Amino acid sequence: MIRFVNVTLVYPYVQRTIFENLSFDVPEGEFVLVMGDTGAGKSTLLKLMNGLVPHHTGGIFSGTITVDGHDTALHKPRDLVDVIAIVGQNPALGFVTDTVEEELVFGMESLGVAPDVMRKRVEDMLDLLALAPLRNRKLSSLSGGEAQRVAIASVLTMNPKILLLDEPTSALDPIAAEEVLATLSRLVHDLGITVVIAEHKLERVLQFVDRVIYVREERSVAVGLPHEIFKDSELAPPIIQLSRALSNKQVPLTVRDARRQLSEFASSLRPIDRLDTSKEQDESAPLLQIENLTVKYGSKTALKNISLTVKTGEIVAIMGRNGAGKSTLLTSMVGIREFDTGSILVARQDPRKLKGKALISLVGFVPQEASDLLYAQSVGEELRNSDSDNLVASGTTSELFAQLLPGIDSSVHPRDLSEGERLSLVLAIVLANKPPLLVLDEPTRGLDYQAKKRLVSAVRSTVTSESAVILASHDVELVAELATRVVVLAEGEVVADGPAADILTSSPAFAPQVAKVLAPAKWLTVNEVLASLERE
Amino acid sequence: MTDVKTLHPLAWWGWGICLAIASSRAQGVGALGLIIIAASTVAFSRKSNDPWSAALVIGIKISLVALTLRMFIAILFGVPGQGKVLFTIPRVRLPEWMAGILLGGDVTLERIRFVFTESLTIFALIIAIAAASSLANPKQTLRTLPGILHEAGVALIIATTLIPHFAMSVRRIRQARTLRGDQQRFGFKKTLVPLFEESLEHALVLAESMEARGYGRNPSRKVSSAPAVMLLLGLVALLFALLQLVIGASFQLPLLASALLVVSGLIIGNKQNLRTRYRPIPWRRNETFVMISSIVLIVISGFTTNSMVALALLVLTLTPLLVTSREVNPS
Repeated sequence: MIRFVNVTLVYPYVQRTIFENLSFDVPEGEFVLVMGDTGAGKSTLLKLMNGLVPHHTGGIFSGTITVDGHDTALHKPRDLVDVIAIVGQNPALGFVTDTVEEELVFGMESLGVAPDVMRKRVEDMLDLLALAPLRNRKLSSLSGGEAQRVAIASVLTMNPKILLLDEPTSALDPIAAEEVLATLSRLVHDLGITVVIAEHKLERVLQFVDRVIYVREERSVAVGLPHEIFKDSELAPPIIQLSRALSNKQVPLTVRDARRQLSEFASSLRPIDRLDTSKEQDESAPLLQIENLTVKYGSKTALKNISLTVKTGEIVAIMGRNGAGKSTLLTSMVGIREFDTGSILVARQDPRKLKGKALISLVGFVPQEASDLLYAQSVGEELRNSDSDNLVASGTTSELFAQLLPGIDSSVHPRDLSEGERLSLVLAIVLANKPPLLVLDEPTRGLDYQAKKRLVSAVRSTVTSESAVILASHDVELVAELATRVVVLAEGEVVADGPAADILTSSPAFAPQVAKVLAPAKWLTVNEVLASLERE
Repeated sequence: MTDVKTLHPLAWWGWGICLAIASSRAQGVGALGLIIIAASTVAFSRKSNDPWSAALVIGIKISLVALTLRMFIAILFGVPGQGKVLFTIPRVRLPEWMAGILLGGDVTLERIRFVFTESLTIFALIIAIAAASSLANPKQTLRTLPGILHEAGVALIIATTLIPHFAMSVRRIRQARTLRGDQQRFGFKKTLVPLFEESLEHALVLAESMEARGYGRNPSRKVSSAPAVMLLLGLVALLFALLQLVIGASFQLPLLASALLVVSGLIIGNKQNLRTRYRPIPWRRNETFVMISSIVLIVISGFTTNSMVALALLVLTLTPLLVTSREVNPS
C-alpha cells in the first residue's frame, strides 16, 4: 500500500541527513506503529508518506514513494486526499470551520462529492466515531478526545485508503485514548483501512499493532513485526521491560500475554512491603493548604469545594479526565487565576497577592505549553535572562540546565529544540529559584522514555524535606514511577485521594501495566519488582 | 437549526442594500428618520448573540460620532450664505496662510438644516449596512458565494478569526511573563516576538491541514485560467468605471461592459468548478417577498414625503419582521 524505494531526505542548510536510502513496504489493511525517540523524525516520516514533505516544507528528496500506486512526487497532497489522509499532532489547530458538521463536509465539498452521498457519509461517520450528540457543537467547545475524533472523522469522510496519525493520544486521558485507539483498530478490521500511527506511549498502542517502523537515532529505520522489533529495541513498554529483566524468551505484546507468561513468577513473588511514610509525613509541615475552593467560568462550575493539603516531601499527582478541572486547580494554586470562594495558602501566603520575584521564589510552575515561558532568541540568552529575572548569581541556571540535559549548544533557538529538551530548559529556569512548591502541568506530552526518565530523576532530586511537587498527568506510568500520592478529580470534585499504590491499582483505567500483570499484588513499576528481587 | 426562522443571508444583504439606496434617494429628515428607526428595530429584534451581531452597535456608534462631528464642523466653520441667522459665533482671525477658511461667523437655519439632512443620509446608509451585516451570518453568506470564489472566501473567514486568537495568545503569554517573575505589563520583545512566532507556527499547521484536506484542489483536471483572468480584469475595469462616475464623467458603457465581464467570468468559472455544497441554504417565498418589498421601497423613497409615503416607508422597511422570528441560539 505504501512503498518506499531508496528514499533520501535532506533539508537545505542542515548538515545531517534526515533519512538515507530508506526502503520498505506497508501492506494493505494493517495497523502500523511508527516509534522512535523525540526528534528522530517520526512526524517527518508520516508527512513523507502523504507528500506534505517535501511539497509543503521544502527539502531535497530522492527516491520514490508510492501510495496505492500514486507517486507522491507527481501528486500534491491535496490531490491525494481520497487516497491518504493525515491527522496532525494538535488537531484543534487544524480546524478550518467552526461546527462539527461543517468540519466533516469541508473536504468532501472540495472533492465534489454529490450532496446525497455527503449526507449519508456524514451520518455514517457520526455513528462510527460516536459523534452524533456533538454534531451541532462549536469546535472550540470540544474536549481533547472529542476534537481528536472529529479530526479523524473529518478526513475519513473523504474515504481514504490510508490514515496517518501523529501522536493521536498524547493529550488524552487514558480512557479517551483507549476510545480513540479502539476506533482506529475498528477501522482497520471493519473497513480495511491502513492506519499508520506515530506514538510515544507504547503501552497504549502496542496491543493493536500489526507492524512496527522503528526510526532509530542513527537515521536507520527498522521495519518488522512487533515481536521481532521488540526483541532488542531500546524503546520498550513496561511489560516488555519486565519480561526482559526476568529473561523471559517470549515478547509479551499485551497485558494478557504477559499475565500468561509470567503467571508462575507472579505467584512466587513475595508480597510487596512498602516503607510506611505516612508517619513521617504527619510530622512534616503543610506546604499547600486549599480550603473550599470553588472556581466558576460563567455559569459552569470548574471546581467545586476542593479542600486539599500537601505536606513537604510529597509528590502529588492530580489525575482525571480531560476537562475535569486539573489545569484550573493548578493555575489557581500558582496565583494566576482568580477564584470565587475558598482560600489557597502556599507556605501561609496567598499566591494571588504576590508578584514578581516573591511569587516565583515561592511556587515554580511549568504550564502545559512549556514553551510559553521562553521568549529569547537562543538558549544561552534564555539562561542569562533567567539569572537576571530570578536575581540569582549568573551561571546558576545554565549549571542547572547542564545537569538536566548535558551537551546542548547554547546558540540554538529554543523553538528548534525537541519537546523534551525544551521542557528541560523550562524546568531549569523554574528551578533556578529553588521554589518550595513545584507545579507541573502535563509534563510528558511528546516525551520519549529516555526524556521521561530524565524528568523523573530531575523531579525526584528537587524534592527535599522543605519542598513538594504537584503534577497533573494522564501518563499512568509516569505517575506510578514518581508520585507518592494520587488525587483523582472528576467534574471538578475530588473523588479519590490516597497513596499512589492504592489509588492506581484500584481502578483499571489508571492501573500501570505492571500492576495489571501482577494483580492483585500492588506492584507499580518494573524497578520496584527488580529491587525487591535483588533484596532476596 | 432549521426551525429557526431567519432569512437567507443574501436576502438580508439585499434588504440592507435596498435600504441604503432608498435612504440616498429619500427626501427630507422625516423619511430618513423613519428608515433609520425601522431598520434598527428590525436588526435589534432579530439579531442573535453571535459575535458578528455586534456590527449593529458598532455601526450606530460610528454614525453618531460622524453626525456630531459633521454638525460641530458645520457650526464652527462659517460658510457665507443667505438665510435666517440663528446665532453668531465671534469670528477668529486666522493667519495669512490659512486664507479662505472662515472660523466662526453667522450660523444660518438653512445651513444647519442642509448639513443635518446630509449627515442623516450617511447615518442611514451606515445603519442599513450595519443591520444587514449583523443579521446575516458571514459563514453562511460565504457558503452562498459562487464556487469559484469559495477559496478566497475561506481565506477571508480564517483571517477574521485571527483577532480572537491573538487575544487568547496574548493572555497566555502575559501569564507566562508573570510566571517568570516579570512585572512589566507589556514589552515588545517579550510579548510580540512570542506572539508572532506562535501565530506563524499555527498558520503553518493550519495551512498543512488545509492542504491535506483538499483545499485548493480542483476535481476536474482540465481547468483553464480564463475565467479567473476575466474576473480580475472585469473587477479592475469596474473599479475604474466607478471612479470615473465619482468624478462626474458619464461612463455608462464601460460600467456595463465591465459588469458583464465579471458576471460571465463567474458563470464560466462556476461551470468548471465541480465543488458541491452540503445542505445549501434554501431561498423561499419569504425571501422573495422581502426582496420585492425592498424594491418597492426604493421606488417610493423618491416621492416627496407625506403621511401616506411615510407610512409606506415604515411598513416596507419592517417587512422582514413579518416573515422571521426571533433567533434562538442553540447553546
